[in-house]
Amino acid sequence: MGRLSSPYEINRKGSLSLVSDIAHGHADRFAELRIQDDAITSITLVDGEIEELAESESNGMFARVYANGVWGLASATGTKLQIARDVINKAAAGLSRSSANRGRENILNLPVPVTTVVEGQHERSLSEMPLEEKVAFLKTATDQASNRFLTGTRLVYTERTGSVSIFNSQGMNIRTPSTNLSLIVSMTSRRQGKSEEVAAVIGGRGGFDIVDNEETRERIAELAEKAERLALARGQLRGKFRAVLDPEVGGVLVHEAIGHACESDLPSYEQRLSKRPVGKAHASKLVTVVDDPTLRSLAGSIDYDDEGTVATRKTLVEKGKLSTFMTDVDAATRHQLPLTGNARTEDYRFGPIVRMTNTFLEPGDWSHEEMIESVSSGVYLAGPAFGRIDYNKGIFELKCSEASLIRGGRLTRMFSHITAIARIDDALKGIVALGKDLKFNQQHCRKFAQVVDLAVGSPDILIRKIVVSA
Amino acid sequence: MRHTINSGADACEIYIRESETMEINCRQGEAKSLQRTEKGVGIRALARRSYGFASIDGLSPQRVHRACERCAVTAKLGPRVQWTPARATTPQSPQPLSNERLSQLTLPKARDALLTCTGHAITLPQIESTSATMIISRHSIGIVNSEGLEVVQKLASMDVFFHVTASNGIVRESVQDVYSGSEVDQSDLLTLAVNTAVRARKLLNSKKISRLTHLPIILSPDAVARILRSSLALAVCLDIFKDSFLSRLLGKQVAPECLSLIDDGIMAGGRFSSSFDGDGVARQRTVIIENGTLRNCLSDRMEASKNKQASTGNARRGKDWDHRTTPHISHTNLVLRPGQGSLDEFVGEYQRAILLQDVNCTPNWESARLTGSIVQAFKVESGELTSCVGSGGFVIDLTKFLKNVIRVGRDVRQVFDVRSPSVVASSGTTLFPI
Repeated sequence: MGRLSSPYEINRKGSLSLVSDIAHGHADRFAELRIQDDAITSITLVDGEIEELAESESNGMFARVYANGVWGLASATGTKLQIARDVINKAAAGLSRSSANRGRENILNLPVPVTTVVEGQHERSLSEMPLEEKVAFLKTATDQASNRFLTGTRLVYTERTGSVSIFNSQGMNIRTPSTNLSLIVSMTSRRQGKSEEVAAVIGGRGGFDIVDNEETRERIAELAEKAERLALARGQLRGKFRAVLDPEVGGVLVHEAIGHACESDLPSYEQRLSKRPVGKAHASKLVTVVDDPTLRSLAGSIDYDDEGTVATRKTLVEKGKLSTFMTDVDAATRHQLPLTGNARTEDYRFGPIVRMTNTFLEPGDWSHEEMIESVSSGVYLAGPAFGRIDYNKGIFELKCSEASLIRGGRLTRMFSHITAIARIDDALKGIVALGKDLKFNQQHCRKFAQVVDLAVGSPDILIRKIVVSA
Repeated sequence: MRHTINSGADACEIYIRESETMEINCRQGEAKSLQRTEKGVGIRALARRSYGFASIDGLSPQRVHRACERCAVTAKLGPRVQWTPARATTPQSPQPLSNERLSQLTLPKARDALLTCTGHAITLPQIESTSATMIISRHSIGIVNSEGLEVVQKLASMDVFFHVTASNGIVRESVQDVYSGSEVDQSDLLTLAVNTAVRARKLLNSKKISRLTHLPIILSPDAVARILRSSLALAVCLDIFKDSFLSRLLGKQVAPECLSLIDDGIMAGGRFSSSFDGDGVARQRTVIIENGTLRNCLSDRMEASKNKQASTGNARRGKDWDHRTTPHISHTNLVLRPGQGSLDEFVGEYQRAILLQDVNCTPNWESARLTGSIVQAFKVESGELTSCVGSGGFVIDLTKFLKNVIRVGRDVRQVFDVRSPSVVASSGTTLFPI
């Protein structure tokens, strides 16, 4: 739905004026206002029929003020001038309630102020496209999916179109698009009383062509085949194995064990830094991991982060050694690190925290077939997958849909409902080969109660040992 | 509502919400606060039995009316459903449910309480760092619909997350714990902060699981809570029940008679207690397992209508009364009926067993196998706790585990949205080294 325009909605000049007023007369103060205005459309299809159609408008503001080493934060729905005044004043009032750290340096590590409007670039505006056309595509998206045991398919399409504007007392004045699409496809198969569900997330930033393409149809067809194979899987599996991880599972390992390890705002950051500072080995020397928001059309593709820092490519781990920690303004100031353009938020309700964008493991030169053939006894783990990291214990846990035993370089018996657990150090230092085909997947990542969309990429990975239970 | 009907809907529901949230984060003696205000409207409409939803942030009449019009249009394109807006029913609990003290708690007082708790915990020996996040939410929720329903409720809740790191100069161990509910008691908070610190210190001398272990398992209330939340609580939701590991067991004996589990939406002090759910249906107590027999699933109006049943009042909107989403099914407060005995007494009864104090689980409702990792456990030998275990994995065969529950204690503890005592199961769990 189109947005209302009203003379009472706050404009750019008004926003800049407000943040300047807060900082005016206070040389040691910093003030920032972020305004977000989105339209959200969600379509849910179950077994080819619409189950839900929903349209939403989300708009609001987030303000923060910094002085004497402490932050005051506030947010509110609405984008009127009075709401902006209230939310900024509330943030400023929050300073007096926060404890002051008198010995603390007051100099924030801030992005260079920029004045710009970034326009979205895509073939066809999502808001121009009729709802009926989107529904029509979704109804045909599963046409190529074939599965003898299929009991249900579910497609959840969500698009967010809008903009984020950021103003601060240093003169930051930018507006960027916040367009994002995701299509969650899940399929359930049932055979002899055993249910299997597999799901995948397809999406990115751009026009409807992000999901309406041949690759999506092929992906959905592959998912249906996988659900059928898994319905036939039987038996239990448990033990320590040499393992080949497919790109989806590999992506989860990269995201959890390396990506989160390089976020400098996590409580255990100080622990990890003191144990393993930059330049020390964190993984096998085959491992180079990059976070690159400049790649186009992926879920983490941004021009500026949610503090106005230019989003840039950075190498997190280079040939196994920690190279760069991702930061936002707060973390960069605390730990005296450079800004990396990784400050992101779920929406206007929350403050920015350090998040990944498009994070991937650079590929090697092994083919998939070579990697499987090289394993005389082991397992092949395939996605979809999701995972969890426990830095306190140094443990990485992932759940994936499929495992196949490898015997004499060939895939044999298949199992479902896989959980794999490994010590982070063992998993990362035990990487012995990398595939040559890099593939990206979209993920929803939850951290500190905020969910953002990002992309993870990986080739096939061969790991020395991992504990598997199925 | 009239605007939506005049725009072409046959029936509709208007959901209005105003929320104030205070979030305070304390780390190493510094506090950072965020005050969040959210207002908005969620509209569901039926047009010739087709269904649509729209929502808008803010309460500006012009915007809300536009959303009503859009919802009526969306409804005409939407799916045909058997859902209708809820009829008025009498709430089972008197208003208000939320504790007045929590409703009046100010940001400075909340901050001071948190600083006191974390400040005390850090003074304990071997405690390296403490951090805590307190989230206090206050909601005003109103639902009106074309069936004559008009309900208003005011709610307040508090969640406090503690994170404590202990170190002996060689090893570091961290523990997290949570305190939740709609009542506040600073002495309880302080006790929790100290207990979390003590647990972290105990882990400094912990060992690992070194081989496959099949022993009787004694579960602390914390461990029971995590396991229930990751498996049973999901499996009994009506929309996924048919694909869950419990799908063929309704009406059947799944556990011994000592085990009864209810979902209590009106429990005093419960994290998700309220008078009405996200559909406007009166909250209630629903018996899930009664003396070992699986009795009921949890539902909202949408799923209940599909199955020609009455809703159990388990509609939740988003994480916490969010107007931006349609309801989904979720448990409120899970309560395991207490029995006899305590954790200490159970420990004293075993020559060899494992006490699982705290675990992390990967959610699973499809298969009966729940996998996870040990956060903290203890070996039980000759009736006493011997060594602390801080590393290892586990697999629970839930079907077997439930059937082999042999003791349910009386030492009830509330962990977020689960109120449970200790439990003993003679088999069904395998521990393995990582």
